[in-house]
Amino acid sequence: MQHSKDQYYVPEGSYWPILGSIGMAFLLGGFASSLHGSGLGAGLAVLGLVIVVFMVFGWMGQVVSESEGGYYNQQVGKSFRIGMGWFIFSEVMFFAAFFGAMFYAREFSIPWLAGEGNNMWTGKLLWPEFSASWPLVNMPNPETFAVPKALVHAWGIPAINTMLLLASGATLTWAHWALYNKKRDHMIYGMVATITLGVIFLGFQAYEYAHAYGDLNLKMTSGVYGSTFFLLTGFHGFHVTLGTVMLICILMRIIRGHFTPDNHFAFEAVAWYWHFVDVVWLGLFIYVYWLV
Amino acid sequence: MVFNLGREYVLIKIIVTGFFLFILYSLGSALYYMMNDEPGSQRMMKSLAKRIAASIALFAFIMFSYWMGWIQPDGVIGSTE
Repeated sequence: MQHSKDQYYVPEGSYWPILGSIGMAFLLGGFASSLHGSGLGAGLAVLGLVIVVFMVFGWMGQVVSESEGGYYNQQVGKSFRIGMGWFIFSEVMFFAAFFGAMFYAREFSIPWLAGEGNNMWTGKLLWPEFSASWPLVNMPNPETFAVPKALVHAWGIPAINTMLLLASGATLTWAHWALYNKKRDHMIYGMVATITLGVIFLGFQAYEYAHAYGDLNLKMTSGVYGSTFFLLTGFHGFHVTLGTVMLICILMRIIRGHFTPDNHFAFEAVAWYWHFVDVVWLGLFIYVYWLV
Repeated sequence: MVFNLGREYVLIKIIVTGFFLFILYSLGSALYYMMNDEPGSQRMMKSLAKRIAASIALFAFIMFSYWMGWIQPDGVIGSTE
């Protein structure tokens, strides 16, 4: 296709959005059906996921070859940045909502249920025996919930995982410096180290969840502490998984010789995302495990 | 475990919050530079480098505070009876 750099590049019609919509329909429809006990639901959800992953790699691969083919001008670059900006905005709001839920339960609703402030009768009438605590291990009506035998301790896996993620932020910064200094081999080492640290983090997190569920009886159904704990750490884990996949894609591109000191928005976007996920974990580590 | 929220604890809370605000500021300015800077600008990378340096320092400070006995992990607010 003939294209001038003075014009904003508009690709030809594509089937990827339609395929993506079909994949999303299977994924969400299948997942919803499995929640309703349908035997077919899980299979449909997996099929949907496969279609979505295929679409993402196909579509993004096309964008990469357009970028490397020199079709994009600065204005297209600006569009990518605006898209990334909205994506980041949604991510910040997403985590703010979950941190907010934990903060509200911990600082307000639980003390109120125990009669704090002007809620004396709430405590006296609803659960007179209940006294507020966080983490909420002594629940007002424990027969309704899976009561944890113990909590996940800050020393041990959470502290190790914090060190792993902080180290991965440092190795990613090393790769970033190497990009500007045109040292591609250092870039590759830095990226491989970052990906490896991310994968080890996920391994520890999976082990931690198995320990919490199997040994501690700390579950999603362990009241407001269990649900907010797993929501926050679980969605964070999903983000690390996604970030690792994105880092692997960037590594493949680096190996193929993509990115220059003047043209590397994809690298920057993924690097920023990884740093963001790292900061979310640091916030979690401090707020959930340390400072009360 | 119920632990005593002493004077050091309040000070540590302020220091940790200060560190964290600086980390958020560096991350936010890296985002701003990524969105607006001309190609070839290194400001985003430098902001991210400050971000990771501050994060490592904060982690080290928390470990140090624990070692000094100023804070305890897994604290429980209120009564655990």
